[in-house]
Amino acid sequence: MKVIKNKQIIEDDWILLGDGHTIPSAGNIIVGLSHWNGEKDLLQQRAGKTAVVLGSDENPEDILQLDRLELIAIDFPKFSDGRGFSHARRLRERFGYKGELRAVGNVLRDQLFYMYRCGIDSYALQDGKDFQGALEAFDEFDVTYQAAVDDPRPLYRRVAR
Amino acid sequence: MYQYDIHDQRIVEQRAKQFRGQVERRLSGEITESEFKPLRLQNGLYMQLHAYMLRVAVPYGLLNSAQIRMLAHIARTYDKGYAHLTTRQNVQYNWPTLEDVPKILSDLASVQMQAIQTSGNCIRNTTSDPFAGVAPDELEDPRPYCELIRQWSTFHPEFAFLPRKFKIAVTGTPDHDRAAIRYHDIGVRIVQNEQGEKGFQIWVGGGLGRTPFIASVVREFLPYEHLLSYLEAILRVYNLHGRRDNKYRARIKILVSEHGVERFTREVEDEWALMKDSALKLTREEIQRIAEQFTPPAYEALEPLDLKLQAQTLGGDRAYARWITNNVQKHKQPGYSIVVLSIKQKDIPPGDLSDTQMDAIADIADKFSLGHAVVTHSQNLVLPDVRSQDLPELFKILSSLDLATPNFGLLTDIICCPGLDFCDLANARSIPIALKISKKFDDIDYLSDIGPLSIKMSGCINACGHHHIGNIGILGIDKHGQEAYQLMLGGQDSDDASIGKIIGPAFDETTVVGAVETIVKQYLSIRVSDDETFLQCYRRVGMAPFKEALYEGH
Amino acid sequence: MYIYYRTRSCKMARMAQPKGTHFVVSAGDTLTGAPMYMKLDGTWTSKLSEATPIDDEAQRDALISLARGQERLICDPHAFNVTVDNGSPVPISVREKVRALGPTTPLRRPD
Repeated sequence: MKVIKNKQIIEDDWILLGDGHTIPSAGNIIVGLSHWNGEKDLLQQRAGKTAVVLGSDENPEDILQLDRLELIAIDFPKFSDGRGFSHARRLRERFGYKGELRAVGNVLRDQLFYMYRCGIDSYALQDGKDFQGALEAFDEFDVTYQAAVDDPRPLYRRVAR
Repeated sequence: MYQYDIHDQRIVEQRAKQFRGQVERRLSGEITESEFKPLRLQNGLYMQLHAYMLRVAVPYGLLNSAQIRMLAHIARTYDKGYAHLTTRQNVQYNWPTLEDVPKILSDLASVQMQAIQTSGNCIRNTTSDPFAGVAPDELEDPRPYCELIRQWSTFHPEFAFLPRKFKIAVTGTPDHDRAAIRYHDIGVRIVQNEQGEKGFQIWVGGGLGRTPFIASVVREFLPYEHLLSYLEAILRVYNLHGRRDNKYRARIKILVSEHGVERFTREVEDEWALMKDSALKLTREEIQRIAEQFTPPAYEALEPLDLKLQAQTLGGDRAYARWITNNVQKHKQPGYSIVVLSIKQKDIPPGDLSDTQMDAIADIADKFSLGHAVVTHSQNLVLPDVRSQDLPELFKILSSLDLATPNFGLLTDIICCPGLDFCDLANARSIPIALKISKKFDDIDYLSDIGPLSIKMSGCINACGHHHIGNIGILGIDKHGQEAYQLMLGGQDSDDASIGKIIGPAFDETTVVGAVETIVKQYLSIRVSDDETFLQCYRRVGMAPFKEALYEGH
Repeated sequence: MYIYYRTRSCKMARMAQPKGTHFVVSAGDTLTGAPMYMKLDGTWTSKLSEATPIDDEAQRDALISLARGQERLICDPHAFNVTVDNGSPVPISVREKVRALGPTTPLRRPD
């Protein structure tokens, strides 16, 4: 998957598998939540890592054995569907998830900074979008007011005001 | 008034720069209109019938004279020489071009203003009582809490793509709520518990539009330090569980209604329990820092003035006497008054101010009101700190500017949305009807005799004119492709909240004004005394006498 | 005269409305938001009187599709119903009438 990660554009070998696809015996795959929950032992017997994609209408608390997952993809099915931001924060703050959070789906450059603040590490923009230009999104604001994952302190606890 | 520090200033400047980049990418074709639209909405830029419309944020309605002058400058330089006051204490421009909007945002930033989150499915302007800080019946000034909420909600990364827009209002009075908190997504009321501690009563799920709702109390007493964490919990529950399948069922009022208040409250309290002791908990220092910027100004030690006596000694100018009675309100500081400027001028859309009027108001604010004015949600302007001894001189100056109409709270103090003359969403024009009503009732003696009566008018069901909560509400509808007007009676926007009931079949533009007149005449003929207001009369007698007067015997 | 409006017969009411004989393709000017109307040659005019009324639905849809590729010039292309009077399109709806003529109220207090 081509993603922005750590303010760089990289290609890694995670593959997002839609439902109904045959599971390859090797390779790093991202499967749906119910598939993981139902088949995690089997899946982990494969050569290759398995990760989970959380739908916007699904819940982080429903992910079984969260700490076995190196990566969780958070789906943004429409850019107007903002549930993924809450899912990311809850995974970080409530469940202490330490692995990689990746935004997939309809990911807009102008949401990247908010995603970053909610604890998302990597961003799969759609094909054809300007990845290079999107890097600028992280530097458009160097002051933020409220507590979030990137800094759990509101502004007045970070600086003298 | 809150003064930006370097951090606040940097945020608005970076935002203006970001939007400039977004406009450039739109104009070059790098991003499509459908990608650009949510971005321009989050900067308050709509496309309407004739032009773009820019909604400038005025946090809790408060403006200083430098800001008023800048609003005048923007009207003159980038628009058609006027601006419009909105029903959420903001200011709108109807004619900016896309290329000019980044310049407008930079100009606004230079006077500590912005257009952030005034549209889109995010947290909007936090509104309040237009008499905040100076009203004698206030328990505590709500504005510092509004400012805290503003900062917390500005670019909140988790809540930028909510199911729908989100509106918060804060009031500081135990009763006579002037911020309509019962009709907001979240209403916050400053209260005091039995131990004498101050805190907040939290209301959730009010709103107008297609499905009007009066909010429910979800928390009777919230200690002050938990304000932001509690709001965060509510917003998270809404973000996760608000409906996203149907735009017309997506507000939090629907969620509260569908889950029921008990279940909704439990969901919020469960979420809140896990975050209440996080860094969201407010410190005394932070509240103090903000509250210090709202401390009362250095008032002069003045004797209280008997305004009626003062009016008499001025040779009994009846216009002045009327103005004192209707538009001048008691101030908590002896010798001072609160003055309401009626921005309901003859033949001009309600709430519209010309650039020359705005420049003059800036000078008036400096000379008479310690440099401040407040936009009200009834589309008027308040001068909060006027020395009572200055009232005669102020009246003269306001009269010369057509800003001294003594009709505050009376029938011709109409709340009216822009309607089909401007707005893309409207079904019918609203402004011409409001102007016809004002013309019909322009006799001030008659108006005073009628007494307090709120008319609120919307050009469509989105209810930006708050028609559900007017004593007389008027809703513009589309009937066979023609404009028609539905009347409702009995709405109230304060403590004794009620939603108006439709009286009967709709009227057209030639008959609706006569219908209003018939209703008023009926009220005058059946009221038990001159002191019984229209609303009191309606609540006593019900719809029947009015319905009869309107529809039968014709 | 009082007009009776029944919410339930909304659909019937709309069917009773004269549908118009033609369409005009319209959009908003990207720079100013002003209404623009399409002429026969596919270019845009700000004057409704210069717009070309079309009576063919397929042609209308094709022109709207064409317009969608012109986002640097215009936004939100759509069509509305008109009748034709002396070659000039006359909108059916109040909305498009107001859009073509401008606000029906004075804009600004005369100084």
